[in-house]
Amino acid sequence: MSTEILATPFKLLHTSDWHLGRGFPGFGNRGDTRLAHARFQAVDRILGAAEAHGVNAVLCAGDVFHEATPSEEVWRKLVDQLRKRQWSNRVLVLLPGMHDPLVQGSPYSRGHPFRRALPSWVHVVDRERFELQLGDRATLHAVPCQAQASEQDPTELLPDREEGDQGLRIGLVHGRAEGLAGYETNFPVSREAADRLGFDYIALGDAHDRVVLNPDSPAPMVYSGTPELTSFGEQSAGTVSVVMFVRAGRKPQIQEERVSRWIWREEECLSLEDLRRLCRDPNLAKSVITLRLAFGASLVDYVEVESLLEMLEGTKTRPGKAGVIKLDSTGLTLTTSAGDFAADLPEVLQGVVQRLKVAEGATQGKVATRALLHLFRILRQGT
Amino acid sequence: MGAGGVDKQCLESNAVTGVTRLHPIQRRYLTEELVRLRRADERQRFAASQRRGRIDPNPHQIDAVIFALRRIPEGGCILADEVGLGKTIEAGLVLAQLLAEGTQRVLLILPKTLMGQWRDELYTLFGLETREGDLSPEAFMGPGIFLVGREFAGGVRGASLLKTSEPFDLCVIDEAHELFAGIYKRVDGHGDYKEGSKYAQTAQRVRDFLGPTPVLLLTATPIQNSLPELWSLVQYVEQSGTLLGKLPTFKAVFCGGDPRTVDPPQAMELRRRIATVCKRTLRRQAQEFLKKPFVERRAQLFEYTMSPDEKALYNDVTAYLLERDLCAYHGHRKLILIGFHKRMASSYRALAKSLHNVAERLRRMLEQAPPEAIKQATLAFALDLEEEFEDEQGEEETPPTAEKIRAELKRVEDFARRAESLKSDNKAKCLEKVLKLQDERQARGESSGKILIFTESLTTQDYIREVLVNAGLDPGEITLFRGQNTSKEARAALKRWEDEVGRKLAPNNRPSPDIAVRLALVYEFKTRARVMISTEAGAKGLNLQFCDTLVNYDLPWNPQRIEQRIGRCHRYGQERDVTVINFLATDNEAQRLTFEILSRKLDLFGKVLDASDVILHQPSGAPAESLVSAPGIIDFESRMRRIYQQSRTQEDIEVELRNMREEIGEARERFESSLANTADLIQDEFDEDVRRTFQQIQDELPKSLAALDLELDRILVGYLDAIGAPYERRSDKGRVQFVIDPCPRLPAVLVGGTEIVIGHARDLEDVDPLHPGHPLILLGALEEARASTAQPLSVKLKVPDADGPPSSRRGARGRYVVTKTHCQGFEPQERLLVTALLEGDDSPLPDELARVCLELQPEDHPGFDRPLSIPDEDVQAAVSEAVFRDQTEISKGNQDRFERVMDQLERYVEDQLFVLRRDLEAAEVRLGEKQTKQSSALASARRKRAGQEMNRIHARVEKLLTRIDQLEQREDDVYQRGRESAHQKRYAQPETTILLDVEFELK
Repeated sequence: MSTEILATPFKLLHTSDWHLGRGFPGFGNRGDTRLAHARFQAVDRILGAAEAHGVNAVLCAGDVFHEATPSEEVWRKLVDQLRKRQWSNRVLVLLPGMHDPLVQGSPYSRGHPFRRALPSWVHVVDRERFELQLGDRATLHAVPCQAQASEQDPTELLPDREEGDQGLRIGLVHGRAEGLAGYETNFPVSREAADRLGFDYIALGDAHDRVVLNPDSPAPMVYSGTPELTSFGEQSAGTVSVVMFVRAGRKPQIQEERVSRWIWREEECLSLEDLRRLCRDPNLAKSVITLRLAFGASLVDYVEVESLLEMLEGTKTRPGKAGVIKLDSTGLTLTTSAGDFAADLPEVLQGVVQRLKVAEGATQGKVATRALLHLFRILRQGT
Repeated sequence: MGAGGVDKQCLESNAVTGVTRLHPIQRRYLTEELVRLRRADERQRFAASQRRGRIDPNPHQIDAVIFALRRIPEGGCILADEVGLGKTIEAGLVLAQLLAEGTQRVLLILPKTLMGQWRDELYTLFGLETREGDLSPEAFMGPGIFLVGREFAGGVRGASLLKTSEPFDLCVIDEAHELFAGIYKRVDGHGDYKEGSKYAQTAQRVRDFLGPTPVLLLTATPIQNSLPELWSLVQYVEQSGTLLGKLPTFKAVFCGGDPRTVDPPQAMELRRRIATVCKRTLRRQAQEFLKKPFVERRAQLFEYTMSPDEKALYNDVTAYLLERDLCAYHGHRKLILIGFHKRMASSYRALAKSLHNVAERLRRMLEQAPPEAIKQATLAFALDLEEEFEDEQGEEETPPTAEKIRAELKRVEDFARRAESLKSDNKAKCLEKVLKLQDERQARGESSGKILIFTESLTTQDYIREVLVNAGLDPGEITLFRGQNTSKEARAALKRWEDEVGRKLAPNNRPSPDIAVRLALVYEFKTRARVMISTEAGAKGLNLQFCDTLVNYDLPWNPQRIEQRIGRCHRYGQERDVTVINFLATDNEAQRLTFEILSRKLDLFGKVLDASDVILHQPSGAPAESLVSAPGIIDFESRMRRIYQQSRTQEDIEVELRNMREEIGEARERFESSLANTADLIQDEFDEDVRRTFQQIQDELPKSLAALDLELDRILVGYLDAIGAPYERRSDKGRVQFVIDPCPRLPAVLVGGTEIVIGHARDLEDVDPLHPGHPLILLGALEEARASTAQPLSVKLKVPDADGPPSSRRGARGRYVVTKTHCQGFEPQERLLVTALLEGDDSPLPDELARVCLELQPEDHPGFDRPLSIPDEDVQAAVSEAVFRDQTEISKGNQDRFERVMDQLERYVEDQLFVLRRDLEAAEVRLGEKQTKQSSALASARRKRAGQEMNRIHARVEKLLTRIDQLEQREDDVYQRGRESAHQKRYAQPETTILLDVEFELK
């Protein structure tokens, strides 16, 4: 191996934190199905991107699965996806992370049906000092997580560059870098590891947002982030990194590729107009929304709110506009007024309205309010 | 004028363009940069498309062109602007741009009546020649723009020929709603074509031969009656079928039970989806930005009464024609009956001529002349209206007796004599009055003074000429236009046009003889004559916007033809309101009713005034052009024919015309309601957003055009100087004109020299506009620059004295490489990347500094005394990195479209899941009911029957569950194919070509 320019540059795709099998029970059955499925779709996009970019390797830096022992349904689905492809000049490397450490019963353990079902081009980091030759140009050094938490810096287990080694050296670890929340207990990662150990690139997993730890260094250490968001607040997640090397020692080029489908949004509507505006948003179909309503509505407005919410959530006869939605309407208050009813209401109905208005102030107030709403709806339909 | 390279000329050109003589490297870079394939929304691309035509497109048209160019690689789109906003111009701009970028074969499927108009507009506005397709085997061979009527395209033989032809790169379908909007009626409940239906076969044929060809549909009314019509149009431009799904799913999701209306809460989603493939601008949105706002049309009605002799003749001839078994009709009843009525409405001279022709026919029948001789007499009759003569298939008729023929001949001869001996012609007097009024209007500056007169009859055409000459016009002030323009005057006009215009045209821009004579007669009318008298042959395709007064001496029964007549003057570029003059005999009830339908029910003429400018009718509602092609109205002509064929008395005719008046009124109401539907459903954008887009285009376009013109100018001057071609360059009115003399080094098609304009060419019909697709650029400048830079290049780059990065490296040596990347993606595009390395540096120069090197003035260098120590591998690595970085930029554009396509695919599956889940729920409810029924049934037979029904529902439930499961896993062929294709486009890797590899020294 030499430091000569590579005639054809070496490329890898770096991803992590797929969290396959993660559930989203807070979003109801359909939301749960959609979001769980989206994680597999992201894998599909990643593999497609890898093929199109002609990368030499795909590195997944941990937390492939959401659990240490995922159900067969989950790992089988991944296997099915992988087996649809026939890679001969490209490898996929899966690294056990904190969520899916290499423990007994793990699908990564040797002899597990998952391992037997994997195509030959998929490699699992199943030992402490894992080394894999990536063609004749680069060497991968990887360290798996073997527990859900540890104070051990995995980069300390990476080998130093040997004297005279002029090849590309790529590292693959899962842990929390200095300065990120939870650093002390979760496989702390030194920010200088790549420079210190003579690596050209260290692919990191665990952080769900995309982070480049040392942007000025010729040897980047990068969290590519989760390819599909798992919760609100993951501002820069949803991408993978495509990395190109022309020679060892020269800073690689890194291209960020968006692969996520869903946009996660926390919305609060403080007025009916806010809600109307939200309903006009062109990105609703690909949004995961928690919607909090916090305003008072007259009978007229309340009926409109109901219809807008129906539009967002969908009904049995009409699909919803929002991709996935979780609604909190505890802040929505209904304020009734006799003026909401038409002035030419028949006398008998005017009497009913009056009595219900009086009843609103009594112990059965809520029932009376609902009755007024019901009456209002009936009268409206009648016109 | 001087020879190329002559100092005076070079100095002039360089002073104007501000450039010292261009080095071959600069010429190569500039030209490659000019012709590279750009994204549709890049300024220079839409500036280039504008420079191809002799028009000044409005912002809404440019917006539509950008939309279409973006959509075409994905299957096509619908351009659905409101009528009168210039969809033809939009399509022309798209065609011109694509053809210049390498598109070879385009098919235009049009209503037959619009073929001439398309042919002429493409030629006169864009310099594009077209070929009319027919059934000959070679009709669709090779490159070209092929025009076919829609009957041809959908017919068995036409479609079969088109299917076996080489594939087309693009198909444009005008008035698409008429051809395809009803296709939904031809599909079954699953959205598949019904094999047995005649309509299905027609639609399937068109679809078959189109295959994957992108389609541009033009229609102002994509929805006439129901949403499935819109669905069917979308199938042609979104061939994956995933945007709206299959018809039953579409109806279930969007129609809410009534296919005529959208389920209100789904309206926004439907608009969002339709906006993906359909662009629609409304008049109110475009008006503010129109360079030439719409001019009005108004009609003036000149009423007259027939003289007693005229009236008596009219009544007698009408009564004669309404008789059932005339000898004159023998074998040709329809031709002769309808022909007579039309001529009688045209002029008494035409009537007299026709009577003579029929008399001759009767004479030959009496003489028992050979059938061919009788046919010749019939042919003479038909030719007056320039109609095609066809033998009528009918029942075998018994030949009339000689006695009967003789009696009828006597009547006809008597009519002819009376027609010829009429002392006065009140209609002709009206025309004389028009002439005088027109003089007055011209004197007041209200009119150009020119008059276009239309008639259906050749005889009337000659007669009008006589009337005008008798009224004092010089024969030279009158131009005749007819189907066959072979007269001495037409030949003289052609010669004058050749001398004054034709010879200046570049050889590649010369029209065919057929088009040349049309252009010559228009030129004659524009430059010399005051009046053009045209038959129906001139109703299509002539651009006569310099004339603002049109006279319908007679009216055809086809409202579209009338609209076409008016469209000659009332069109893009007309600066004055257009006056349409009609004549009406007030004592002719049938004529009065017909005019009333045309003017009041169809609003064909807009505002109608009488001869003293008193308003008789003020239009309301939809514009005339759209009413004319509205369903239920287009059969006006056949209805008229039926009325005249079947009526036995004048009263019958009048009753039938009154009935038709009512029916058309109702049809119009229906049509206007469908227009309202369209407006609600198609229009997605808020007026303010549309306005902002148009404003931006309007603001940017002049800058983009100026930049493009400057580049064209620099490249052309550089090229002409390089090959030593003699030329003269003049700047005038914001544009630059070149007169290039013959030179053997010019491209083969231009060796004889040419005249070129850089800048707007609207008023320069005899000069070729220069644009990036012009042979001077593609075959001249580009080829020359490529040849001049084919060898390894070594130059000194003069660094300016100012401080800055290049000056600090004075004396350094290096290499720079210009690479062209071609990326297919969702929209093909090419980019030029500059990479530079200096000797001894570890990394390439930053991109912006590399570009600075390219801009430094090069001087040829005989070669370095010691070899440059920058190996090819280093250069290759630097280029790879530059390409990789550039991909990030391209990625951004592709990502949005990828997201949209993936979202579309997800919606496609989700729509299906929604319908399946709904069906599942209904099936489960039914199952519950059956269970109750079974358990409560006493008789075993009823229990058994309920059990059987439950089994059936169970099977259905199982099937639904399986399909739901499959779709949830996205196991769906259409989805997978779409996903695969989207991935390929999203992640498409560029092909790279090294254009320039230059060794340099900074001095």
